[in-house]
Amino acid sequence: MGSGNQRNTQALGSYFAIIDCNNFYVSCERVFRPDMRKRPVVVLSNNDGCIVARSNEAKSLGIAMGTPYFKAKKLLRENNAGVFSSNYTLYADMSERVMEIIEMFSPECEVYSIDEAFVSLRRLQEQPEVWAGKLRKTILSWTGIPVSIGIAETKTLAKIAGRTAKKSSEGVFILPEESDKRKQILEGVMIDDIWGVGRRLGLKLRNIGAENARQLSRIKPETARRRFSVNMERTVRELRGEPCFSLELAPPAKKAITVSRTFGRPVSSLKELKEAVSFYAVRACEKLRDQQSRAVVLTVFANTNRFSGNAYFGKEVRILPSPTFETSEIIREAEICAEKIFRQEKRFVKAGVILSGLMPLNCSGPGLFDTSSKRKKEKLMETIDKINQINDAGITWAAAGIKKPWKTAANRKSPRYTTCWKELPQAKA
Amino acid sequence: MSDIVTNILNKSETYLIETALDLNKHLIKNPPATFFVRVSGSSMKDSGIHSGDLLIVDRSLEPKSGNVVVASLDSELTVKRIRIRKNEVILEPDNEDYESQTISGERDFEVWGVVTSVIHKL
Repeated sequence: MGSGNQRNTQALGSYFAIIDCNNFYVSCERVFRPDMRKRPVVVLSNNDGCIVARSNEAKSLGIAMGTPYFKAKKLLRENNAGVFSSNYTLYADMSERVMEIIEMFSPECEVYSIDEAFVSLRRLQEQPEVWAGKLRKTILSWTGIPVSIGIAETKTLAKIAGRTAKKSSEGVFILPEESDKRKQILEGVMIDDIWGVGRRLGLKLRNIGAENARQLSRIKPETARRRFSVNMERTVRELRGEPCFSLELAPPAKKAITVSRTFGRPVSSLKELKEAVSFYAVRACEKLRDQQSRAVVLTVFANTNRFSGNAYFGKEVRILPSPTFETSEIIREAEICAEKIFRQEKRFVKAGVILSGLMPLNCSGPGLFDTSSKRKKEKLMETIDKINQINDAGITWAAAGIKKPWKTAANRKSPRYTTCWKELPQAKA
Repeated sequence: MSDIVTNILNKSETYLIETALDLNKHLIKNPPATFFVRVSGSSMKDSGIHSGDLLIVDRSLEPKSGNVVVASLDSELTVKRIRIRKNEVILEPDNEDYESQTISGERDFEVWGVVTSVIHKL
């Protein structure tokens, strides 16, 4: 490497990259469905309510993010579009694969969301564009997921570079140093599209004359702090190229596990509410065991439509006698909560279970009332999880109901191609 | 520490880290790039790939002529032996009842991944 190159690498020393999976949910579906590669494709939210992911073809049909499915149904059908219920099991597995590859390529990486990761290029041994090109090609070839990569001096600017990257054919974009091009790019970013700004703050910022990223960057940092917050000051500084947000290298272990769903139809009997809550408790316990933890606090909630006249939000918190990951124990407590929350004449539209006060298995130690029978039950739980991994119908808790009439609609869910033996992709021989 | 002690420590370490044989580790070289695919049909039976078998597919491997691959062809996944010539790609079955297909430019074709193992239940 020549000395010029070296200087360049050093100059880029404090740079950040954002790796963003393009139309992630749609891309996951397409990996296993070659017939969907050229058609418009959308993915629906929980309960098949709204459109939460769109392929580029669907975007060019004019379908906006968050459009209720029923409003776009006709247009989608006329254009022979693929429509999928969200399949989070699949997306989580594909996300893990992508993140694993990013980590292989990057000395320092922060998984920011299911489809985004920040990387610090501080210790990068090669030219950023070379690194980014290789990473992008590898992710696409190994997982089938296309990504775009934006690179700049700060995380906020990297996000902005990522927008340009997404539109470019190479999928990689490094924000140029001070130049007309840079000004032009910042001017093209609307105020609410800036990382950390959003609609509410965007409105206030417009009032003081900041309508795009360039204008916001020209506000005095002190003013931003005085009139808004420390975080706004940081955003302004970041837009000026001064890093304020560092990489969160070790995201804290999950502090709570939440399983909640909107019902497929309102629930007004105690029996069904208990079933639903138990079912969520079963799922939450699986997640708990999956991350090798026990919980001591159980929260159950259920609410009616919050836009209706006398909305009701019921919540019950129970402290468990000792940290546990045992489904039957948590179901029992969850049912008691459901009884307390339940009100006659209320039509519940959503319920959920939250497990918190989590502690890793190895530090919770046996409680005072631990018995060997508890050990045995925990062993049983592990066995049941294993069986359910192989066989979907598997073993279920009678408390969680058999028919589950309250269950969320997900009529167009694709198979769990990567996590379930019975749902693997098929290849014709 | 004397050389002898170090040597003994190193040795005992090798014994400690040996664990049960792990088929995952044996069969899967690159986990984030590896997928399982189910076979349907009999066009590959002479290579020992039968309907219902499980294929281990590594997407990180560069397909070489003669490899068994999973390919997406005309909007479906297919498993065949690939022959890569100068100007064409041929997908060969391993069963004389089926015919080879030469892939022309008009068809939607892509190698999805290279098959590294087949798991066949007896």
